Parts: sequence; C-alpha cells; structure tokens
Amino acid sequence: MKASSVSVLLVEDDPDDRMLLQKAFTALSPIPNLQIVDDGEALIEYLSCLHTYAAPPSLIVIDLNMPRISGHEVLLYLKATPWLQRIPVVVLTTSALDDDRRKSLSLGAASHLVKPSSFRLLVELLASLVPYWSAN
Amino acid sequence: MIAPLPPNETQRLAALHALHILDTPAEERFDRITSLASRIFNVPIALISLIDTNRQWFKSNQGLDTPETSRDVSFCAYTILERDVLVIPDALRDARFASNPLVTGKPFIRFYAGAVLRSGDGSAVGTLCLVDQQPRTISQSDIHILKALAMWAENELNNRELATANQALHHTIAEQSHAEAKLRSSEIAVRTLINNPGIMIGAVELVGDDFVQLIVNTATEVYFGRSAAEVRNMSASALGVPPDRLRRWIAAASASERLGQAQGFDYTRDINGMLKHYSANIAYIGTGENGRPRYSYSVHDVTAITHLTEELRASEERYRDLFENTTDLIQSVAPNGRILFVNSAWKTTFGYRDDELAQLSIFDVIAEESRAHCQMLFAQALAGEETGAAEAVFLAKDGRQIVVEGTINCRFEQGQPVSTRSIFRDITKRRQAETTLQRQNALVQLLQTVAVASNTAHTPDAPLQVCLREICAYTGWSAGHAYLPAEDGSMLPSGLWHTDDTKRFGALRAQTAALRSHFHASLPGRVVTSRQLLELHEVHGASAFKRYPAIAACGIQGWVGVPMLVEGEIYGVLEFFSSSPTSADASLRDLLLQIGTQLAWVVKRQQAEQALQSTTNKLARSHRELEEFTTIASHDLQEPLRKVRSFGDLLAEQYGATLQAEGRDYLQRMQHAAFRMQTLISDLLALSRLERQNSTFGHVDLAQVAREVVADLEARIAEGGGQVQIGALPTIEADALQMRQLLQNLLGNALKFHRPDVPPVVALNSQLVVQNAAGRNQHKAEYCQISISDNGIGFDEKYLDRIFNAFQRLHGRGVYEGTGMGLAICRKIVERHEGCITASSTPGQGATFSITLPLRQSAERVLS
Repeated sequence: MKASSVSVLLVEDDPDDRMLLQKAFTALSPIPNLQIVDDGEALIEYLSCLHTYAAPPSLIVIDLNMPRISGHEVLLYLKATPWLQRIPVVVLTTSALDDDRRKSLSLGAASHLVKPSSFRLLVELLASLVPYWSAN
Repeated sequence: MIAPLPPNETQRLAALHALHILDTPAEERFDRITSLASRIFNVPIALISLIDTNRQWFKSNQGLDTPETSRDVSFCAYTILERDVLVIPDALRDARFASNPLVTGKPFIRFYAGAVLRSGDGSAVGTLCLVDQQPRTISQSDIHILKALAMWAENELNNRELATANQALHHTIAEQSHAEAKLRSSEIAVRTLINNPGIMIGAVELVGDDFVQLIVNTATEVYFGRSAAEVRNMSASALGVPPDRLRRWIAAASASERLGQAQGFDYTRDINGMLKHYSANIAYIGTGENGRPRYSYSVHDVTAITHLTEELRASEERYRDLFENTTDLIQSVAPNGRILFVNSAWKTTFGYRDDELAQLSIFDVIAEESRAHCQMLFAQALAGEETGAAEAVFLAKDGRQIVVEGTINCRFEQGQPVSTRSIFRDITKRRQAETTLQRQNALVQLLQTVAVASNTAHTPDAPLQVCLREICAYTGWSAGHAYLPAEDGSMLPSGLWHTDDTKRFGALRAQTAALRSHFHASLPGRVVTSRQLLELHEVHGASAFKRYPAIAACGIQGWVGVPMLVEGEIYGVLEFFSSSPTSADASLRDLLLQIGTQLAWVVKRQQAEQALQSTTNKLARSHRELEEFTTIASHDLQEPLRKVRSFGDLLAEQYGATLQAEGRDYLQRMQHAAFRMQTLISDLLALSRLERQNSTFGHVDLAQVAREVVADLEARIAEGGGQVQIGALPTIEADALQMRQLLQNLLGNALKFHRPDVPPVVALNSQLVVQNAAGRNQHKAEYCQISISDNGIGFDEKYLDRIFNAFQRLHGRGVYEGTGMGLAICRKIVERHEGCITASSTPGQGATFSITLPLRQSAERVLS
C-alpha cells in the first residue's frame, strides 16, 4: 500500500522543466514515487479522483507561472480543502521576487524555492526535500 | 331694528313741514357744508338728512345716489333721539345696525357720525351726517368741528325758515294792503312765526329818501335797542342808520321793485368795538294807501356764521398750506391714470407745469423699469387693497430719474374708486448713496471672489465661470462667454457661458461655437489682435458683426470684449452681452482688465502645469517601459538561459566521456558564455531593482557590514595572499543590503585588479566631514567619507567619467572577469543615499575610491 502510493506530486507546465526535474528526482536517494501533472486544473482533477481510493501524496511541488490557474491559486485551493490541507506544498519557480516569496509563504507553502541555473544545483536543492518522503 | 319715535314726534313733524324744505331742489348753501364736511373728515359720504314721517330725505347729498331712503333703515332716525351727536365707529359691531341693509348692502356703511339739526322751536328735524365704508374712530376735536358744521347747517335751515317767513310776510302784506285788519291778523301770525331775536323783520314805507318803519319784530330790541312799538313810524336816519347804508337800502329797494324780486346785501356794524356781520334783504310789496311804495325787509345777524366760515376757511388754509409747502410729493390720480392734482413740491421736483400735467397719465412720469410694478400697486389700490410702502422711479421732465418712496391708497365713493392719493418722498440721494456703497461692497466682494476662485483653481474653467457670473451680476449684463487658447495657440470659443436665460441665448451660443473657423474676422478676434478692451455701445451700429443676426434676435444692445493679458501676452478673451447699450467707464474698464489679467495668470499657470505634466508623463512612460524591459530581461531571458546551462550540465555529465576533446572544449565555451550571460542579467537585475524598489533606511554599522563582506571574500583573499585592513567605520542611516553590496563590489574590485605577483593590500578607512549644505539653509549636515585604497593596477584618470557607467570595462575579458556593472551599481547605491562617489588613481600605483555619505537621511526618506 505504502509502496504504491505517490510520494511526490509535481505540477509543472513547462515540458523542458518536467524533463529536467524528472532527471533530478531520479538522481536522489531514495528515488521518490513521482507523479507529474501538467497544470493546476490537471492537479485538481487528479486529486478529486484520488480522493475515493488512494492515500494522498507525501509532497506536492508546484510551479507558480501556469496557464489559467496560477500556482498561488492552486496553493489556496489545497489549503482551503480539508482533506488536502495537511499535505506539505513546496513552490518551485523561476521567480525570485520578494512579493512572490512572501505570498507563497503566507498562503501556507512549506517553502518557496527558486529554480537554480545549473543541473547540479537543482539536484542539490531537491535533495533538501528528501525527508518529506523518506521519513517513514 | 327700527328706531323708536321721539316723544314729541307730532310737534317735530309740524316744525319740519313748516320749514317747507322737503322735496325742494338742492341748494349751494347746503351743498357747501356737506362738501366741506366730506373733505375735512375725508369721508366718501356726507348728508343733510331730514327725518319725515316714513322716510329720510336728503337736502344735501355728497356721495350717495339716492335722494331718500326709508325711515326704517335710517341711522339718522336714531340720531334725532340724541341730544346732539351719534357716532357709530363700526356698524357691523353695533346690534342696532349690523343687519341694516345699508350696512350689508350698498352703500356698505361701516362708520357713521351724525349731528342733530334743530328747527327754530328746538325740534330735531334732521342731521348733518358723515358715512364711511371703513370702520374708524372720531376724536373729540372732530366732533367739535362736526357740531360747528351742524350749527352752520342749522342756521342755513333757519335762513330757509326766514326766507319762507319773509315770503309769507310779503304775501300777507300784499294781500292785506287794502285791509288793515287782515294786516293786523297777519302781523300776529308773522309775529308768532318769527320770534327769532337774531333776525329783524319788518316793513317800511319810502318817504322821500328815507324809510319809515311800518311794522317790525322784537329783534329791534337787539338791533336798535328800542322796542318794536318805539321804532314804529320812526325814520331810518332817525334810528341812526348811516347815510351810505341808507343809500344801499334804497338802491336795493328800487332794484327789487324794478326786478320783481327780493334783493340782498351784506354789511357790518361796529357795536362797542365788536364787528357784527349782517345779511340784509328787502322786497317790494306794493304801494300803501298814501301811494308811497312799501317794502318788507329782514336783517340777519350772521356774525356767528361769518366767524365759523372764517374759522373753516382758516382751517382749510392751514391744510392747504401744509399740503402746498410740504417737501413731500403729493399726488391724486384718477382711476384711468390721469393726474388730478399734485402739490407744488411735486411740480418743483419733477419740473412739470400744470398745463403739461393735464396732458399726462401718471405712468408717463414713471420710469419704464418701475412702470409694471407701479401699475400693479395702482391696481391694488383701486381694488381697495393695502399696498404698504411703495418704491418707484419717476422721470422728471428733464429726464432725471428720481427714486421715491411712500404710500398709495384710494378714495372710494359708493364703493367705486374715485381717485388714488399718494404721498411720496424723494429718496434719490439716499438711494444713490446706498447704491454707491452697495457697488463698492459688491466690487470688493467681486474682486475677492475672483481672487479666491483664481488662486484655488487647477483649471481655468471654475474661475472663468465665477468671473462671468460675478461680472454679469455686478454690471447687470445679460450674458458672458470666454475664449481660450487651443494647444496650437489659436483662440477658440470655450463653451463656458453665463446667461440669465438659457433659452434666450441658445441661438447665439450655437453661432458663437461656429466662430471657430473665422474667429479672426469676429469682434473677439479683434480683441486678440488689438490686445485692447473693445466696447460696442450699440451693436446696431455694427451689423458687420458676424453674429449680428443672433445678437439682434435675442435683444442684445451692448457688447464688451476683455482681453486676458499677462505681460503683453493674450491668454483668452471674455465677452459680455448687455440688454441695454453699455457705457463702461474708466474704472469699470480697469476692473475688467484686472480680472482679465488674473484669469490670464490662471490659464498661464495651467499651461505650464500641462507642459510639466506632459514631460512627467513621458518620463513616467519611458521609466515604465524600462522597468518592463528589465523584468523581461531578468525573468524571461533567464528562463531559457537556465535551461541551456542545465541541459549543458546534463550533456557534460552523461555524455562528456564519449565526446572528443574538441567537442568538450566547445561545450565548455558554450557553458561559459551562458554563465556570463546569466551574470550580466543578474547584475542588470540588481541595478534595476535599485531603481524600482524603495530603500529601507535603518541604522547600519558599516564596520559590521565590512567584516561580513570580508568573511564572504575570505577564500579569494586567501587565494591571492592578500589582506584587508578595516579602520574605524561609523554607524549611519542607510539601507543595510545596499551598503553590503556597495562594500562587496568595491572590496571585490580592489582584490580583483591586483598587479600580477603582487598580493593585494586593501585599506578601508573613514572620517567625519562637517560641511555647509551649499548655503541652501543654515542647517549643518554631517557626512562620513569612506575610502577604499588598494595597491593594484590602478587606472588612467581620464577614464574616471566612464568607470561608473554600466557595461564600461577598461580591461579585456580574458584578463579580468566582470560585466562592467559593479561600479554602476555602486554609484546608484550612493546616489540613492544622497551621497557621492569618486576615485583617484595613477596607472600601476593603485586606486582610491572615495564615498561620501550623509550620516542621516532626511526624515521623509526615512519614512518612505
């Protein structure tokens, strides 16, 4: 049961970043059970199907700049939905603006991370998230 | 209610009938009394009423259109029950009369005052009475006058009685001239009839040129001081009649014989120093048995009546004097407006002669502006309404306007208005003084309003509107409009109007709006060209005026155009339309030009503000565009660059081993270029963030900041074997992050540009500077000067201008890394702290960068 459950749910609309992040997660140890959805709408749809039969993911990683529903709106949805609000959410974005960071944290994000400019740094950054799915 | 009959009614009626006066024609001697009574008491109705068996009959009648009324409704029937006078102040409030048809219907009696008239035997035969249609009171002195008039009427009645008696005597003597016995019995009748001591009656016979008394009544005792018996057969001259009077008697006697009717004349006698007046009457009655002509005569002592008449005349004279010599203007006007009467003051004031007045209606002498109001007042007065104090402007014959104030009321006769009476006072001077004062106040108010509106305005519209309105109110002009400069400097109708009547000026406004295309050919266009105030006293003289048809159509007669001038430049034109010909005097023109100038300043100020605003807008736009660019640069450009680097990393990591040496070199160069690009963008972002974000000022310990920076640079310092010496540094008000970046850039540079093989030695020091703030104010600002000196390669000071600009590099990239942004960022940070940065150097001798920063930021900067 535990083994088949999703440990990291990644919300990323950029195909390049989806590929980079997938590679980077694979470089981690232990490798999380990664599920990727394309945007906020897909996430909400995925979670509402999930509700009926599966355990919630251990961590949700979201981008901010997404079509239709922004990352902050997704965050608001997650934190306003009772059975989802306990899932830790990490914002992973290109934006280093203080305003965006403040808003992420005030909406209940566990952390607001800026996508680094090299693959090595990306792996190092994601490594800091390992405790979310390896703790138990 | 019907008045009860007097106790002596039978005797009273006999006395009345004995007067033989009922149903006789009107006589002037009675009418004079009622007319006088009506005038003295100012009542519409005055009567001499005689109370017959079933009626009251009017011997004299002022103001009533009936010769008699039923006794049942008679007020006078009550009066004859009184001793002398009955006064009813308000008939409606008197139970005896409240429902009387003469009260409830025509002539609508409200006030009544009647004095009893008695016949010779003392019977109350009638009254002299006054009637008014308004309730009123009557004073004791008025009652006195009424009684005096009644006494006069009574005397006239008795005169009538006398005349009748005289007539009877005449007949008797004539009839009985042949029969002495008859004469005797007639004499008895006459004597019985006539026992009035005030009237001497007798018969005489002409003997030569003297009269011999045949018969005379007892009045001789009063007149001659002798009894009738003594006087009999005495001649007139023997009785002491002076010869000249005797000649008058004889002349009258022969005239009566010749003309067949009685002749009368008046004379006076001095009785012990008292002048007595007499009215004499003599009639031919035929010849006696001796063939001598015989005459009847009467002598009536009229002294009392004469005195009364004189008194009344004097009283009338006093009224007339008051009336004629008062400075008040008194006028009486007929309901059709014809001037009936005016006093001398009126004639003097307005300058009209009597013959001119006869041709005039009162409305001809009232100024047009006041005419409608006066017609209304006049109509009110004629309708019996109270008009209150009236004010009007009259026109003197010479055209002067005279302002008068006073009252107007109306005299009614039998319910019909007869004439209006007005008393006015000339208040022209007072009104002029008031007007002058009001105008002065209005002027002060106007200038103040204009000044306030001008000073507080951001756009000229509001003060223009205020000025148009206020100037129209001040001058009485009907409309005002403004022309304002367009952006290209041409003058255009602004559409700002003030009018006293929107409908009236609709067409004119439309035509004015259409002036745009040929403004220069218009009158306001001429104001612009001439820079002068233009005035058309009479627009009729200017049919060349573009808008003449519209102006004539709305009844405009005068036009004034006022330039809005400042320092000879024109900033607009005000134009005003007057419904009467204008005549702006020098002071008004000056005032208009002043207001024009004030408005011009507002327009000028607004133009300057607009120019400034447009520059500010342009700046803000370019600033915003720049910000947008930097945002794009920092985020959107960085995104693909990040991916280039990341996939480059993956390529190098996963396929580096399979590439040949040349391939790995290419990959490395590519990765290096991408890295530099990223650094460039980061620096650009840092610089733009300085522009965009507000600094947060707080207390910053520069020594602490310097130590942290040195700690960060530890690796590089150790690598080059260099050292950094930190001297004393102050705590200042500054943005902590920016200070850190400043020191990091400068220390980093100092370490970076070291001479080959010479380990870098960098010194960081500071000193406090007390400096006058450029004389702007006396406040002394304190500064600190921080110097960063190195022993590096230095630079040629001719490049000093350049090194603080973005992207400026003095060295090839191969030798020293860097984007050329570092010092640009430093300068930006220092400037944001109101400080300055400079440097001094000699190539190869090291460089010193000096930063001067204020110890404190100004309060508003700290707050922001």
